[in-house]
Amino acid sequence: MPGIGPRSAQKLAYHLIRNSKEDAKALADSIVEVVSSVVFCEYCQDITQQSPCSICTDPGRDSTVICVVEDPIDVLAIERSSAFSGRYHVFHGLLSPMDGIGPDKLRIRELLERLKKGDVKEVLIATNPTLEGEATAMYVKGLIAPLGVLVTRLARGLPSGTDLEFADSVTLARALEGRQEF
Amino acid sequence: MSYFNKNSSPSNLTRSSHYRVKGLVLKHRDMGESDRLVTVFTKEYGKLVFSVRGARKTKTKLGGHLEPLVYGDYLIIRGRSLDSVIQGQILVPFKTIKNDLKKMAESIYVADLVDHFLQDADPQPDMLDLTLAILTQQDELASNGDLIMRIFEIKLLEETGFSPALQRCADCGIEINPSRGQKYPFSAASGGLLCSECSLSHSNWVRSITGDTLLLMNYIRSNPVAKLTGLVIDGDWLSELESVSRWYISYIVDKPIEALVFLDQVRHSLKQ
Repeated sequence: MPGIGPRSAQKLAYHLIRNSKEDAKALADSIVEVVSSVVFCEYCQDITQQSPCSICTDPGRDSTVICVVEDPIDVLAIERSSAFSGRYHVFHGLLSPMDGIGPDKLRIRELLERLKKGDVKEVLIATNPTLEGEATAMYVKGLIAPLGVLVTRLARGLPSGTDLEFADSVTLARALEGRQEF
Repeated sequence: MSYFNKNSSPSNLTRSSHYRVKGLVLKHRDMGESDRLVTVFTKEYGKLVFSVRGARKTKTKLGGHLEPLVYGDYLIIRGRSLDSVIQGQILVPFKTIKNDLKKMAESIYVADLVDHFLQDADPQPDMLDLTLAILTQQDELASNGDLIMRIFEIKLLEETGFSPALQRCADCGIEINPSRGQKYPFSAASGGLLCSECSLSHSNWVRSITGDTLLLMNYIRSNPVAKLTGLVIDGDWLSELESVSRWYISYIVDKPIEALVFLDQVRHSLKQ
């Protein structure tokens, strides 16, 4: 389990043993229910209890803009911002050349199939601003460009509430390149 | 290499709780909620693994300084099992590489190859200089990535003591003077050319190589990187050199070089 080391696992196991059997059984039932009822949305590939998911079937959302993210958790983060009203596509990972994670292990083909239907006008690539995120963004851009769909990327720069002096030169350069009229 | 190899700490080399290193970040890996493990090829101590607390948080002061393919100056604090980076400053960001998919894929291959050849905590300052020289050439807008990769492979083999015998038989030592248009048996297992007599006793990991490519390999081996990157070389010639280098390196490394798969996928996608 990610984030659970041997000692944490031991603590969790003792906690379950010490507490009532009903609580442990309820937890086990919940896990079984989640595993058996969660599916991938046939359009956006996000995890959902019913495919298509609530975002893909919401008529109030802009179906011409797709935001591409690495993981389902990124959908939640962007939804919390309330600043995006389009739809999503989840890759379930990023290209990681040194770990052997190539394009065939991500849900890129599913995105291209959605784009070929012709309704989408913009793809916003919202992968992390890391080497892997940039590699994925550039690779996907190369595949989408021939389809005539506008490809955009999340802006990069300084996070709010930080000191300029601590910013690394790459982030600062990106922030300067992306400056806007104030 | 184990990410938690305690021997990778240079703690036996310094008694202070802090120490400073300059190094090239080869790779990183997520750890826990928001931390990262970074593998840094340092000038002072060779390849080391550090933890970076909170590196994935938006307000981190260190995340950008410790991205792969960044050469930086880092302040390290010794830890019980793993040393941690507490301050960093980018010395060379290699920005052009990160804005071009092919350059990026090639540079990741460079980092992956270095990672395969380097042992933990084994200082190799000349190898670091070579890697930085190669990445500096890659960072030029109009660089020829295919040629730079071949130069790097040959120079890396030389630095690590795996340079093949190109002017004598790798088995019996008899002198061989390659000439253009001729083909010669080359053995990965023996580490270079074979004379016609010795080649009869080899069947595995033997292939033929043209005299043209052998002369090119010799030329690359005996000239500095800066003098080589401007060479204009016929595509077929470069293809044979690539094929031989990959084949020979795969024999030495003896495990898949994952970044090479990605590089091939990128090259394929750019051709379409």
